[in-house]
Amino acid sequence: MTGASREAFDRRVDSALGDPVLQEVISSGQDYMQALQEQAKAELDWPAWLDAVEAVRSHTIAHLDFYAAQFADNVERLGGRVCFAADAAEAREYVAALVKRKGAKLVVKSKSMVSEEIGLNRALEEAGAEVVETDLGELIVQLAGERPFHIVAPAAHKSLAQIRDLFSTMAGEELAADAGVLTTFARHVLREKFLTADIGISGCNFGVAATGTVVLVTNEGNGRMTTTLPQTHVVVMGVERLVPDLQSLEPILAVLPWAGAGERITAYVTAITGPRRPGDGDGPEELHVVLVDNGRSSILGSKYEKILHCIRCGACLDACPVYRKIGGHAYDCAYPGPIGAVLSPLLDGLERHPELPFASSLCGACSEVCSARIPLADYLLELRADAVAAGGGSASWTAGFRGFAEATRRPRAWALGERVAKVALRPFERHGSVRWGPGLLGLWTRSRDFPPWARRSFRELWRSRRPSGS
Amino acid sequence: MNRAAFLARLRRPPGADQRGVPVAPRPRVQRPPLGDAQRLSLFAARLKALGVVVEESATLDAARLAVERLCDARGWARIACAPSLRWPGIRDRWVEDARDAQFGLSAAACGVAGTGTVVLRHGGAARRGYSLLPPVTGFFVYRPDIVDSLGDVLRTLAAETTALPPCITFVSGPSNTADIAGVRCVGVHGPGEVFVWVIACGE
Repeated sequence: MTGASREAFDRRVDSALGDPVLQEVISSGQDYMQALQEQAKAELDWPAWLDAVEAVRSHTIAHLDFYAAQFADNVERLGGRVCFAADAAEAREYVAALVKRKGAKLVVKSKSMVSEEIGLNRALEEAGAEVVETDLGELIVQLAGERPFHIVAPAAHKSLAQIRDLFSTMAGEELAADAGVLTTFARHVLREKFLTADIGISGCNFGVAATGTVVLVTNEGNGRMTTTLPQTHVVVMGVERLVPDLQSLEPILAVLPWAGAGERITAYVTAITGPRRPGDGDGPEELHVVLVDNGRSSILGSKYEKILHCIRCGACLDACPVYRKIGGHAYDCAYPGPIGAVLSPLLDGLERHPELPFASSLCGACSEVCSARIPLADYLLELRADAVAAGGGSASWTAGFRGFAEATRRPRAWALGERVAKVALRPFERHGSVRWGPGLLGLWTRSRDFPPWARRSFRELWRSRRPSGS
Repeated sequence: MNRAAFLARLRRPPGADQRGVPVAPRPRVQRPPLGDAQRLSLFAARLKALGVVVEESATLDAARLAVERLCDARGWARIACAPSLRWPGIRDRWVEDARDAQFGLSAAACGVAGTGTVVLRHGGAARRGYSLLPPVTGFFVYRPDIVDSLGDVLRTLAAETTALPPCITFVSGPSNTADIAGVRCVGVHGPGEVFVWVIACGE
C-alpha cells in the first residue's frame, strides 16, 4: 500500500470516526436491519433458500457467455438494442452518444450501482443533459455532491435536519424537518421531471436470459416511472446480473428483499420485456440495454469468481463491524462495505484500492450473512496476500510478520519474546489496552487497539494445570 | 466492442464444464400447498400488513359498487382505467390519461398469497400508468386466480409459449421509502393508498 493512499484512507476513516451523527445513524441502522433480517430466518427455511440462490448464481456464472448471448438475442428479437461495453468508457460513450443523438435535455435515473461504477452522470452532463437521480436516497446524495453511502440505502448517513437543509436549498424556501413533508416535496418536484424527461436510465437487478426480460426490484416507484414515462429507456447493467430463466428468479426474489431491506417483498417487482409494442397505451418506444464488462470477465475462472454471484443485497454492510465505524464513504468507491472491499480492487485493479482489503477485521460476519454464500472474508485475506506479493506491503510490516512467523516456529524464541513483550508493553498500557507505541507497535495501534499482555501466558497456565510428571 | 469479442471474454478457460446448451438448475424449496380458505386468508392478511385495504365482493357488480361508494365518499371525479374495465354506473368520471386521475383501477392477472402481491400484465389498453400515476390505486382480483407463491406465478409465466407482455408488475402495497432518516413514508412516487377487491366468482 502506498503511503499516499494509506494517508488518504486514514483521513477518511478519521473523518467518519469523528462524526457523531454518522456514528449514531450507522449503528442504529445496522441494528435495525439485523433485527429485521432475523425475522426472515424465523419465517423461511433460510439455508435451503440460500442453497437455491447459490445453485442458480453458480450455474449462471459458469455459463455466462451462453446466457449473455441468449439475453442479447432476446432483447434484440423484441426490438431492443444491445451495447456490448468492454469497459466504463465504452458504456459512457454509448449512452452519451444516445443523449446527443436524441437532443435530450433531461435524463431521469433510477438507482443503478453500475452507473456509479462507470461515472455515467458526469458524462451525460458533459453531453449537455441535466441528470436527475429519482431514488430518494440517491437524490439526497446527488444534492449533497456525495457518493452513495450504502448499496441499498444511499443516504443512510444523513440526518433529518441535513436532508431538510438540502431540500430547502432545492426548494428555495425553508421546509419543515418532517419526513412526510420532505417526501411530499420530492414527489412533486420529481413527478414534473418524470413527465418531461427525454430519457430514463435504470439499472437492472436481474436480466432473464430466456425471455430478454429486465427485472427491477424497487419500493418507491421511481423505477416504474423511469421505465414508463420517458420515450427512451436505457438499462445499464453488469453482465453478470443474469439468470437463466423466470423460474430461476424464485429463490432470488425470496431472499433479496429480506436480506436487503428486511421485508418479504418490495412494493414493486417490474419485469420489462422489450419496448412498447404497437397498440400499447404507454411505455417507452425505445429500449437500449448496455451490458457492461468493465473487469468482470477477468474475474471469471479466477479464485475470486464467486464475487460475481453477488445479488447486491447489502447484508454484508449491515453485518460488518468495520463498516459500522467507518461508514460507506471511507471506502471511496462505488461499492462500499465488504463487497466493495473485494469487488472494487478486482474491477479497478488492486493498485487503485490497495487499502481496501485491509479495511476489515476478518471476523467473517460478512461471509456468514452473505445471501450468495460468497466467502468474502477469505477473499479479503487472499487480496491481502496478493497486495503483499505485488510489493504493496510496507517493508516494516512485512518484516514484523516474518519475525512473528519465525518466533512461532521456535518455542524458546517465543518464550523469550513473551517475557520481553510483557515488560516492554507495560509503559504503553492505558485503561486496559495498548493504544500507541513506537515502531511496529505504532503501525499496529494506528488503526487498532492492542490487548495488554496477559499476566500469565497460555503455556504457563497449561503447565500449572498439568499433573506433574505427565 | 463487437458482440463476438465481448462474448469471447466471458468464455471460461479451457477445461471448465461448458459443453452444449446448459440446463438451468431447478432448486425448489418445498412448502406445503395452501387450502382454498387458507390461501384467501393469507392473501388478505399479507395485504393488510402492507397497509392495503382489502374487501371481499361476491360478484364483479358488487366490487363495482364498492368502487363507486369509495369514489363518492372521496369526491373523486377522475378515474383512470382500461376501457374494458369500465362500467356505466360512473361513466362521466372515466378518464384516459392517468396523469391527472385521482384514482386508477386495474384488473390483476392473479394474486399471490404468500407475499400479498397483485400481478399486473401491461400492454395494449392495460396501461402501466393506471396503477402508478394516481395517488390512489385499486385492483380487482378474482379469488380463483390467487396462488400460493411467487414461484407459482413465475412457473406459469415460463410455460407460456408466446412472448411475455412488455411489462409485468408485481405490486405489494403502496409506494414507500425509508430513505429520509429511516422514517417510513408512503406515496413517494407511486400511489400511497392501495385497495384490493377480491371477487369470489371467476368470469
